[in-house]
Amino acid sequence: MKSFLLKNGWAVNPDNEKVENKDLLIKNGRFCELSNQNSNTEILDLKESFIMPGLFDLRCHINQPGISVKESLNALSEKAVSGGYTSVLAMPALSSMADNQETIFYTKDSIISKQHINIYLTGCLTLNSKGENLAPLGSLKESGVIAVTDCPSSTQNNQIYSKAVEYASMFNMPVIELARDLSLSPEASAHEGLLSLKMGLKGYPRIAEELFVSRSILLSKYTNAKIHLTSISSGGSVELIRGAKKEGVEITCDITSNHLCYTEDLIENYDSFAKATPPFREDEDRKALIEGLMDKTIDAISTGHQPFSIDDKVKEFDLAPSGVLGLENSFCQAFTELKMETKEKMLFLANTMSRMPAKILGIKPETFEVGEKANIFVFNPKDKTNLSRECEKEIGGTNLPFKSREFDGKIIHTFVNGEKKL
Amino acid sequence: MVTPKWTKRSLLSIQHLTGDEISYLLDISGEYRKAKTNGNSPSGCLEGKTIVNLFLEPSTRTRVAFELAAKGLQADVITIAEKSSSLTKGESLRDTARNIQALGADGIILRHSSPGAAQFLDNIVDVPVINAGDGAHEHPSQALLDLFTLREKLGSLKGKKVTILGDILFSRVARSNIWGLLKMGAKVTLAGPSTLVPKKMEELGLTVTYNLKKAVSNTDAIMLLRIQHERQTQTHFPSLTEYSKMFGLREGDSQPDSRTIILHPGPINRGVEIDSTLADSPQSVILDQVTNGVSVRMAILDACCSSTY
Repeated sequence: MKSFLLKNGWAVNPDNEKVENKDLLIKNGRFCELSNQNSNTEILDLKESFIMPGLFDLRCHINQPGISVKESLNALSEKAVSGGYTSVLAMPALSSMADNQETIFYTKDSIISKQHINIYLTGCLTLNSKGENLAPLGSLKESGVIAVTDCPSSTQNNQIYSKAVEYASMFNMPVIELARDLSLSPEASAHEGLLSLKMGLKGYPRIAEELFVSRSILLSKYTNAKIHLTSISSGGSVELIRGAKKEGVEITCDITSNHLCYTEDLIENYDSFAKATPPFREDEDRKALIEGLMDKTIDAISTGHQPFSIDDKVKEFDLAPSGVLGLENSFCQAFTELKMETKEKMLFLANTMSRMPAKILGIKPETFEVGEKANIFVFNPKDKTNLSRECEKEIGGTNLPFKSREFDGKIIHTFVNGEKKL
Repeated sequence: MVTPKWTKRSLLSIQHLTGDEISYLLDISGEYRKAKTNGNSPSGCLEGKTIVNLFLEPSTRTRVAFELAAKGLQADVITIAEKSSSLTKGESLRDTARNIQALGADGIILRHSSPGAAQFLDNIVDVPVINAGDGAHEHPSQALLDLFTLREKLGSLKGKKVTILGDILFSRVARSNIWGLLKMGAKVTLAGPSTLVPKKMEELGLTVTYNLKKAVSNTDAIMLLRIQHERQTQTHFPSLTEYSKMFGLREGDSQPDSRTIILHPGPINRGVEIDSTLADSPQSVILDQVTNGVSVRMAILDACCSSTY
């Protein structure tokens, strides 16, 4: 395995909240003492760029295998690496639903290869994510899942949800919930507001999310179960979670980078590619989400990466599936969106996109310590990144929420387990 | 003589028309209507052209009116209904539309249950697309014929008071009419049960009321909307009887002034939205609407599909 010496970079360490100018040696996949370099070591002069801990995505839909027209795992890995992600948490729709050990074993043995980024698996909370019967959570944990969830569905029945949460807590497994009361948002394809009224689209009101956020808060309060709310989208949800955290309820939550940056304006011309789960809402929601992120009500930023092919998405708006891409754009667009001093911002993003996701899942966050696996990326804040839908055509998912955009900064290298992938 | 003010290829919505464009379409409609009254045959401006009626949702009035209008302008008309199309074999709307264009259609009239379907089609094909109703989004030809009828009966719409009564939430007719009336300078009031008439609509510059008496008194026209009871009974209002009691237009208590005209896009649920006696009274212009529908659709086809303008 090749060794690399990263010189003249600023290492961003959210653990001690320091940004330090230091050289790093990567050898045999791990960080090494600088004295171990030899004549084969490739030297990379980073010229004042930032070295960041590899990003960890809390919500990634891989839908593999067999539907490679949506996105193969190779394509997904490539996108992840180009976006600074070295690990993702896969939602339970795999080759089949991850509600049994065999699917987990098969996925680990046959689908995920060494070529890919680190892919962690979740199991279903209920059988087939139908919300009717509990999934065998204990066996799923034994086969290696690190969290359970029905995302992108949400268990509607309160009895089953509360029992599932209680049962999962016996195994100390976090439950990930995408809060949505379906009875309040049947067949919805857009945020309920003036725009959905004008467009004649069935609305997904804020209250459909907030009601189920409240449900999880109450359950967490009374059972001490570990619940993580993923991809909250309504300003009211932020308010509810802020109140719960003040009370000491141990609940965590994330937003997607896309919801941090975009509003319902993107769908104004029935652009089905921008139809997201949950839907993009209004600017007042987006502002509340940013505020929640700043005061740590919101713990982390995820991608919500949900790849679809052109044929999936080029349909009548209400018939097209919901979901947008996030792996390749999440970091740069969050960097562009947030207004902070650069070093402070790098620390903030390293914390919310790498350290906190790992901590929420009970995994050791990435560090630069000698002996640890080298999962990092290098970011030059002075360069630019251009992303557009067209260039995605060749490699699977095409559904970026925007047609074409330029972002501040550029990811120039990514190392996954010490291997240089970008 | 009407001066040409039409530059659009397709008619997808009223929201995106200007007041001038609406007036222009109404003016040409007037010429076609006059020709009909005088027994003159209309121009053969679509001679040699093929118009495809792609109706993927049930419709009688609109489909027939477009057929008559196109035939009146000497176009060849082909009607494709949902059950006879390849969409039932799983073909996507995108592919169906491309095939229709490849077969040489000069214009497509689309009725579809998805909001935005007409715009979707317009992005795919190069020929004019006419929206004949897309989900709960818009129904521009219906609004134009309503505006035409109102103008015929009331003169200029500027400052006129018009109440739209009934299921606003799920109605494409309501949306198109709201845009059209506002653009023509009318004062619009929406009325009906609160579950079907969102207060939020007031942000468009109109009034929302849940008081039937207030809604129907001192107004120049009342546009009734069909209650789609097959969809909303139980969730959005308790029953047709309750609806009729609270929001039905009846003689007596909730009777409008005799000078107020009454419109309805049909089909009517007699005894629910309106009593038969009122529906058939001289105040009712419901059948005028149907007749005007053909002239208005001629104007639309002329503007979009002929090479005259």
